Amino acid sequence: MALEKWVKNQAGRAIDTVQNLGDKFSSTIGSVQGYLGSAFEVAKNGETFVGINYEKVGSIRGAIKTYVGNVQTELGKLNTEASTENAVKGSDVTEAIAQYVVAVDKVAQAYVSALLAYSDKMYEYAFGEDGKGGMQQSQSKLSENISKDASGLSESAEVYQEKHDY
Amino acid sequence: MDFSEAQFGVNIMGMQEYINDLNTIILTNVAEALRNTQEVEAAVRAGWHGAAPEQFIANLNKAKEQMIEKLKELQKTFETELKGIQSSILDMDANLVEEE
Repeated sequence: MALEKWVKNQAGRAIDTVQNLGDKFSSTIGSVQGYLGSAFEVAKNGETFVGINYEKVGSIRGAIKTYVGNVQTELGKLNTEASTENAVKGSDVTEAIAQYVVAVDKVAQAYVSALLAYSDKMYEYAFGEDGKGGMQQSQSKLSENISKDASGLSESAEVYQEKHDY
Repeated sequence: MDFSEAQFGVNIMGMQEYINDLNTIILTNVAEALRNTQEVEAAVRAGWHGAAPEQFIANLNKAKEQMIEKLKELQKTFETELKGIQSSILDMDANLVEEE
């Protein structure tokens, strides 16, 4: 019994180590989300999308979408090409390691979400939220919304879904 | 017995391979994809005139480098901790003999 208790204690130490790492990850994720909250506010003085050619909005959004897709494809390999199967065994430890991989994913997805939210605001600037008219919102409101939309989604760890197809 | 049949433990070679895979994916592939903004920059410059697009591109470049740095930071911390776990489990394995 003493041996069994000793083994459990040792295993517990490994799990504690992993949990401490989780705290470090949370701290980094928080700082990234804070940074991205303002990174794509191009201008707060009403110049957010000034000078844009509405006919080119689709190609800019397309390029952003392709870029985001490429980043997501590479991120997806964390789940398909890196396996702990032959590295470490122990349900608690491997589960915790998987959580850290998710944490890395969260950092990147926060970035992706900020860009997609920005892209949607570009569309809304040019064509309106309903696609029937542009420049209906004030620049300051657009800037505020970009930050709000992206950071809100980052907190929930979901990737921002574009609202418009164009 | 093969490691795949174990319920608890660490495989030194397997762990190193796992860390190498993570390094390749995060520090090389994801970082490369993040850095590859040329198409976005070209599209922006082709359809947007003035200071705002240049500011957007500058922000994009700053943000992507920031993301890469943060991912590197996370990866290095993770790798250090994984090696710590590995040592802890290997110590346990070695000490069991002494305890018994």
